[in-house]
Amino acid sequence: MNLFTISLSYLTSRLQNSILNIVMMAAGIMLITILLLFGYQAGQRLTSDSKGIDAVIGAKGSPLQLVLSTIYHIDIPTGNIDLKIANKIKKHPQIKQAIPISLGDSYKGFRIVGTNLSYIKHFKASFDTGNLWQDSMEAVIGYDVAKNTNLKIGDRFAGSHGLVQGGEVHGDETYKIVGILEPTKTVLDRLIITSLDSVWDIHDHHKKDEDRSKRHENDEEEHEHHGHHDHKKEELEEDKEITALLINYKNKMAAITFPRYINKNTNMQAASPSFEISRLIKLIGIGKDSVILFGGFLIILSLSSMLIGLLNSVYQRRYDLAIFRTLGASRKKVFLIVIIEGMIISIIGSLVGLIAGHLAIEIIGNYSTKGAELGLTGFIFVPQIFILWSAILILCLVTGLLPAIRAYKTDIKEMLTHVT
Amino acid sequence: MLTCSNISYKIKDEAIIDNISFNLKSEDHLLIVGPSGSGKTTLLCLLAGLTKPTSGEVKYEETNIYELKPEDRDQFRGQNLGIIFQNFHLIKSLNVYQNIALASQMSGNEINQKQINHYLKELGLEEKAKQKTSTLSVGQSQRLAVIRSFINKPRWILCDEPTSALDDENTDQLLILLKSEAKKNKSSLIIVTHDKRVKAYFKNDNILEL
Repeated sequence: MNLFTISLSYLTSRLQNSILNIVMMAAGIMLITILLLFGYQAGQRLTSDSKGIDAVIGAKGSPLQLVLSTIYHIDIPTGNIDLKIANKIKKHPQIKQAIPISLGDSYKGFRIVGTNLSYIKHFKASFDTGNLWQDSMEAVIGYDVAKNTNLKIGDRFAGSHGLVQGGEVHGDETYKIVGILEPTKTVLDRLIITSLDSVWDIHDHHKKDEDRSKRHENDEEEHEHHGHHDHKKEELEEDKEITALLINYKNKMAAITFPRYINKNTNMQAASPSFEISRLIKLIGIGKDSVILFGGFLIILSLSSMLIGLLNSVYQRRYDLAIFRTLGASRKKVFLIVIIEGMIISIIGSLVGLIAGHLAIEIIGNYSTKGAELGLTGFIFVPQIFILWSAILILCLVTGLLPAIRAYKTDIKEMLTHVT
Repeated sequence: MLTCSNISYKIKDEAIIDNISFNLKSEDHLLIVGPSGSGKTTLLCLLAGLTKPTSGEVKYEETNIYELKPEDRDQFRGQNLGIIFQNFHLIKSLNVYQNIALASQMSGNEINQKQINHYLKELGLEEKAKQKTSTLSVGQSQRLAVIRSFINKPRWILCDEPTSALDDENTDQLLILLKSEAKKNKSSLIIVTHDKRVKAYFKNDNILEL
């Protein structure tokens, strides 16, 4: 038996109170842990995904939507832009690199991105197996796609229209897997990459199918417009579209002048990922602050409850403390018994909160689509959480001081007079 | 030898204990008697090193306990004195075994499991070792209190009104047990009481009337 056993025995003797304190502390710490883990990983992901991209040029609409859809692949694009104009912009003297992106289809929730080799190089990705596509309808898949779909080199799959599951399947045209990428811890892990030609081909074919079915529905109308269809076929080849261009500037000055040039002189928009993301973080921040405040409130509530519980407990067992002293315990020992009691609640509560917080994020990362898209994991060490944990333990120690000092100052003679 | 020289204890000029002196040889017993409010418990606290006297000194052999630093005095008390209270005051949150081990733990002595088990067996509490003290009868509680006070083999056992809440049968059992354990351990008993029944058991011993 030691001081810990004695403290523990007092805690178990008022079990309901102790459990309530532990649960409150755990809930507060869990909430804050979830937020810190989410914020840290989302921040890391947002930074790593947009690294090296100074601007996104796309169809007019919400700039945030454009950035989210083309860099982070978590929203619907604002529309398409003309390939011819995009190619002209590529030659602008302030642009170092422009990567074309074409979206529209997905497979089992994973987006199919039409682009070129620069996109893969941008993420510094290397091939686990296979190689880059050589022909249209060949695709390279990211690490998470391979893991979740079990697709292997040589396998074929049909993409479905739209960026969410449940869209119309392009059954006639199938992609062939020619390469699987190693993990990059970026959005690339969750993408299916193919050539721009593949995306154009599949949609040209789709468009033709639509036209053909319309023809069957109305023969007369088809006859009248026969000449017009031939003309449209030419137009499809000429007027190809892409979703966006991911731009890397040559110099910092371009960040000021180039977006102005695009927004003023074209029917497109140039959005800055860093600006849009900081705007987004600011927006999310309000909600995040509220939850952190609530978590903090729970922790303070738990500390207050612990303080009252310990003060009550010290009062109720002032005779016990006097007995300890008569048995030879120094004031320091009696002080320590109360401090240990407070620390047991704090350590168990904060550990339960930390573990629950990490587990919650791990579950969100594994079972929620959005969580998986952000690559959330509970098995990560975030320094801020360690700082939070240490700060809370210090707070608990300070909270335990008052009852411990009261125990330290117990007047033995007065107690013994009452005892007898 | 316990030497108590001219000890007084005052609260706001009111003398609770006024200039008391006595000597008690090792293994001798002392009965301190007097009516309620005569300062018996205060005297016990003074002897136990729990309350510093206004004047005078308390010496166990050559050790003047009030010359010791507070921490050393606590340690001295834990290792040389055993204290039994009127209601025994056992710790409810601990089990029977732990209540005995507590005395060793608090005094900084090593917990001697063998000795604790020996006592538990000898005094018929072996089966109750893992049970809470609330399950004990009055007789079992007093035996536990006696074991706790003797476990560190103290040379002096201070008892404060140990029989006032007991019936004749339990009083008899307790006092016989105390005397036999004191004899075995070569300890002195210092009993503070206003219970006239106790005198009969200490006819040949020292008596101090307050």
